Amino acid sequence: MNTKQAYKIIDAGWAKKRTGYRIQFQRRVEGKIVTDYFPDLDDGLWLSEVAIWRMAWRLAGSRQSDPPDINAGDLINVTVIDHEGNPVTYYATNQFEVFNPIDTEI
Amino acid sequence: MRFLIILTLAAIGIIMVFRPLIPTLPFKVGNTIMAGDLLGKVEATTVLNTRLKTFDGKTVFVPNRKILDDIVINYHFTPTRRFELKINILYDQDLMKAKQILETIMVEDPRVNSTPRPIVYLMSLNKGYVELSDRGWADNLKRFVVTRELLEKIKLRFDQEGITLAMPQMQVHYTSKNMPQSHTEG
Repeated sequence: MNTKQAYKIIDAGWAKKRTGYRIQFQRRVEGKIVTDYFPDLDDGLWLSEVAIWRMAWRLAGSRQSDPPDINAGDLINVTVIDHEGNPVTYYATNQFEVFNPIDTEI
Repeated sequence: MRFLIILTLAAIGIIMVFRPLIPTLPFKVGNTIMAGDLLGKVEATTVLNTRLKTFDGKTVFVPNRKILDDIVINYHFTPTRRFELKINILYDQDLMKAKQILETIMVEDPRVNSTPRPIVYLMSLNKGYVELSDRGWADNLKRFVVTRELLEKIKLRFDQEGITLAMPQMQVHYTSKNMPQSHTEG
């Protein structure tokens, strides 16, 4: 195995280079709970993990209703995902974090 | 009329010959430059001065002769640049764990270049703490934000992993020979 091959294995399995981040959230639209993203899936990803989490807690913090109600405009189950759609651990706690968590499966 | 044509051609010829000797500004409008202590974007250039817009919003008119006499860094020619974060930890902390955390944080960040690869060096042990140098390459224009955010992530990750950062410190040893007067008298 040469150096190039070794680094290929390291890059695939150790600390993965992410290409960007997106916020995934849910909201009520015409009575139904739908999943949406910021930025939109057609737009480019955000490169800053710090900035995207800051945006996530701002969006979550703008909620007007008390659980379990979901008013129009309220964003629930707000979290950050990477370029592959996988959840990202919150850098402040190193845990998977979901703001305004509500079980919408019920 | 013929004299005028000859004179014009002669003038053009002289300009062509001496043009390489006429000093030109080492940047164009739109470039981000550091001239002396000023960092900013070039908005306009005239024969006498250059208009710079600094990143804190100031518009500065710099005399061209001052620019020509000073060292100028034109970031247009260097799109990426190495950054260095100095992180100090106490002697009794887990050095390998700290190095691994620092490297992981840099590798994962989309804005830190993969080539050259980020690396962590142990810089010194003789300052009262373990001095680590966290080095990577990033886009010149994003460098400030990238390094600030890396510091934020490092601080929080070290807190989570129980690694204590060190403050600069100095140990002072008193012996009977250099003991202050007030102490020896008592």
